[in-house]
Amino acid sequence: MFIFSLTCVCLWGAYLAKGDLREMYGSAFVLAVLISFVFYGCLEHLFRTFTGGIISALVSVFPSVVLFFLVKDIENFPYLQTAVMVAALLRLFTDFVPFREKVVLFGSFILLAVAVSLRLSNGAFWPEDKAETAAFACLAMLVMSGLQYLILEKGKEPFPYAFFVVMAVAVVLLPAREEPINWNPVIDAGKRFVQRAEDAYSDAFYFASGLFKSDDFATGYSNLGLTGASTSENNNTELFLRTKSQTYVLFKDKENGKLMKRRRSVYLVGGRGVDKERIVDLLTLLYRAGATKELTDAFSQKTTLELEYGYLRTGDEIAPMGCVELTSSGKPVLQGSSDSPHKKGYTLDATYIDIDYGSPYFVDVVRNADSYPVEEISYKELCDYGKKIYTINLDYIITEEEYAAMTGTAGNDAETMALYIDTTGCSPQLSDLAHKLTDDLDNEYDKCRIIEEYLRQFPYNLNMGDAGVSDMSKTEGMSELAEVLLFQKGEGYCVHYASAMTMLLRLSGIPARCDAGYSYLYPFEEQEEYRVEASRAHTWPEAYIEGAGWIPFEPTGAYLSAADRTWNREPKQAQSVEDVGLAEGYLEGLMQNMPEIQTEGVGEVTVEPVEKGIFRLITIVVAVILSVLFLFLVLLIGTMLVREALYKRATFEEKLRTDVELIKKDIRKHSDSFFDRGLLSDYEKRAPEVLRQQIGEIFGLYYRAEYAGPGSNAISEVDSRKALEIRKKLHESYKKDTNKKRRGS
Amino acid sequence: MSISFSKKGLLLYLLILLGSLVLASFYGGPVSFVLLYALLLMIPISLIYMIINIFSVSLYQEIEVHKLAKGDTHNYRVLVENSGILPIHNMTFGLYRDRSEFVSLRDGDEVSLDVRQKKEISSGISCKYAGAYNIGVEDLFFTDPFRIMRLKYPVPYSFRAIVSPRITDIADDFLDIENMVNSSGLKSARLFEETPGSDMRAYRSGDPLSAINWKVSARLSELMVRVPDKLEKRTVTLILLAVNVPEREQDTEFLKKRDYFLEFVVSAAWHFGQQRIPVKLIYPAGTVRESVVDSYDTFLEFYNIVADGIFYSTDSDYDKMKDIADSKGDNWDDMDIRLLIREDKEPGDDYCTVID
Repeated sequence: MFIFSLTCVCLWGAYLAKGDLREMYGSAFVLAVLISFVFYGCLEHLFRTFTGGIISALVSVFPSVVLFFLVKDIENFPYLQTAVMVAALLRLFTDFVPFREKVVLFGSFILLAVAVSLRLSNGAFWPEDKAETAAFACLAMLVMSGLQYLILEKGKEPFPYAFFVVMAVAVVLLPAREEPINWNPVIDAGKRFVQRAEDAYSDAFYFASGLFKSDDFATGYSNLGLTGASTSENNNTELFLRTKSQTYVLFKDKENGKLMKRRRSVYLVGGRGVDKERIVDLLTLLYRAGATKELTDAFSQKTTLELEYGYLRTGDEIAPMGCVELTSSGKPVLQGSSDSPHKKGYTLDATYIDIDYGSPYFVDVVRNADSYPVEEISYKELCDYGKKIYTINLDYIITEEEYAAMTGTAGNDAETMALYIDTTGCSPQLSDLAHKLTDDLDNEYDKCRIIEEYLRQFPYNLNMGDAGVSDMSKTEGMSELAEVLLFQKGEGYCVHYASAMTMLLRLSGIPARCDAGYSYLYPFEEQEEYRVEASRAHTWPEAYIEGAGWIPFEPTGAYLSAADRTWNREPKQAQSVEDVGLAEGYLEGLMQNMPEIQTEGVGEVTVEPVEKGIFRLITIVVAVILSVLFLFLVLLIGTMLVREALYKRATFEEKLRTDVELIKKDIRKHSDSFFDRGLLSDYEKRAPEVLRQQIGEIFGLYYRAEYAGPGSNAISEVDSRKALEIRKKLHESYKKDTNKKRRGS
Repeated sequence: MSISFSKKGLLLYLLILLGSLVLASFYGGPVSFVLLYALLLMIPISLIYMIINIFSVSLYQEIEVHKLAKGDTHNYRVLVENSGILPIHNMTFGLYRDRSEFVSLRDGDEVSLDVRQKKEISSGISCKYAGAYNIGVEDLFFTDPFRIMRLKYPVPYSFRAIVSPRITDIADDFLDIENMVNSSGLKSARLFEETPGSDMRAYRSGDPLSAINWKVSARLSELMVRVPDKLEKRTVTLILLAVNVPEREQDTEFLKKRDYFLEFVVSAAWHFGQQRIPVKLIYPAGTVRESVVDSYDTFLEFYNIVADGIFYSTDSDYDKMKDIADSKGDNWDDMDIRLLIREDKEPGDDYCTVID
């Protein structure tokens, strides 16, 4: 090993001195030197049988002279001549160097130091070259052996070298890469493991709660309580999303010209299903605005999404906002909710029109909705338009009768709209604020935007402990929630913001409502599936803008507004912002005269009551205990089933062995303790008298199976059945005795 | 087989391994990877090496005599052979130090064996306790090159010594206190004492002169001798209530107690034997056995088996012995004096008590 390493290190030194040497004197040269060296060594060993050490050493290298001339003209191996001579010199060095062991011992350290410095400074010892890796491995083992000898053995007797040789061989077989260790797969595996453990726990809890018909897995948005009290962030995965569409948009930053990446988001609505009204309103708006495909592509696109229900039990059909097609296992889903709750694994395939509500092009269209000619659009025209713009079949979404009903009575039913303009419970303060915000504005959209921006200034807080309980499903409740945010606490969460904006809009004369579902922002890295946790549950307001339909807004400060999420797309044809009419600085102009926030109490942070924390802890502990018990039960049953299955598949001999072991176990259990000498007779004499003879026969069969020679009878099916029968009889007999004793006692 | 780790060695190893991992996380190539692989493989390859050594090593222990005497030094020989393909380095012996002493062999003595090499190690050995137990080499220890871990391998077949107790007078004090000789008039259970009787017969050649009844002989003008009567006999019974401890739990404390027990029993038997008083011994020897010691030969018979002859094969035998020990005169002869010798006496009890 030392010679091999020495050759490699010296060769590398030679490479550095004269670079072109590597072509001729590579690993093959080292191998040739090693083979020649070993050859000389074998000769020396042979010669030693009949001559002294020095002479045999000298004579053993004579063949090198012969070899030198013999291998002279081999073109394919031009290095052989040098190799044989170098090997001869090394052989002589090995034989005649004084204090050879010490030379090898300390020489290894020096060689290793040289090799390491060559590696670090000149990149020597390429990992692809196994010979060079082997040389390094040999050096490393030599040094380890030396350290062991010097430090631990203190110069007495080294550990057998065979150990280090084996280590060197094993190390050489493993790949030594040029790149350092990449820990990402390990980290990812760790994350996956943790995720799987969490999923397993959640699965257990989910199925267990299903047995007790609990409401633990209602949707996250229903768990908001819509009451305005404190809520905590639950991290159950409620939905799994899969999409082939890109989850981010790329655009060029107008200021520095850099290519930027922005994540897309999706709003999922519960209980609505296919949103016929929204799609008809959208198409109608775009048709009347004369929007071309090039323009609409700048702020909208048809997208598909697959949803799978996670730890959820609800009858709601959860679909993206603007859904035009919704199917489950290929069948169309016609209603917004089902009579029976859907469970984990329920899937929906949705096609929806994803709209960039922050796009200046869309905003401009909406702002000017009331200025477009209000012409009647026939069903066919709208269908053709929908096909042209979004390649959707409107006739599959809505029938002509439904369309006529939708458009015939001049829009939405007056009674329904009356609900959305109801301002019951609003205080004069709230009314004043609404007027202050919107009186100077004529455009409905602008009014919505200024209210949205005003509310986004308020801080977000989930802990609204002593804020009181209000019912958001009633207008009075929404008014109360608005008061809490705007005038009392000065903070809240989505429920407060949505209620506040809805009431302020209504007070400004704009019909408004709240929607509930999930708001999910895709991550930057594309994944196979995306998990929507319960904490993504959200509620947001929508305003009905004449001519445009229901437009959603995002007043909750903790969430990105539409403007923050805009795709920054430009229409393909030259249609600049000025042409469309939405000027730069539109928003800044709106906010110029926005009033200051009026709040009495500014965000008092409330501490979650200790009792709730303890209750949660108890819940967790009980859940863990239950799941452990459940797993224990599964293991117990599983072991029994596996044992049964193995017994059924075993050969007759194996079955007999198993039966004998079980008989012994039973006898032992029901006898006084005794020392097992390994004799079955000890068990036989402790068996119940009634079965003793039969058990003796079974033991006889066992001995026959174990110890009889190949010529003897094998265990037959009859024997095996007999053993099983006796075992069962014994067990029954002990059971009866135990029951008798219990009754007796 | 068990593995133990040296805390210091392990800590150092883990630190170096961590360092090599860090090095390999930043630098690729053979420098870092060879070091990392070498450190990772060191423990498993060492373990495999040691396990191969275990399978290759053979150990044979021998003592010059079959039965040993307590306290005497005997010649002990251990032969170790490496029949494998890998050398054995610095294997150490774990000896049964608690029960035997070695003259020239110590715990921790290292032995290295080359491939196919044998070594013989001789020493003197003396056993501290009477009884039957394993002596000599208990375990073999192997270590890795860097002494991070140590593998302990119990020798599968230890040398089982049968150590006879010394014959001492430790029981004399216990037995003299009872003053049994004076109060009981013990007689042989088997040998009938000849006392002068009333029946007469004519003298035969060989009759002792002391048997001649001179008065009757003078009257009948013929030598007449008395025919001896057989006297009633009293008996002594020793009940040896040994402890019931399974072999795998027989530790040093057990050996000490057993040693004292055996010595006491032998001393008691010898005590009565010297006074020509026969004694019945009831003891467990696989089953509950009775022996009578009433002569030197019978004493020797008992002495030869006592070292390894006291054991229980089932718990019911122990219960039987306890019943015998606890019986209050049921089915016992009034003329019998029963002494209970408990191996495991309770605090406050005597080692040897008379059962009423």
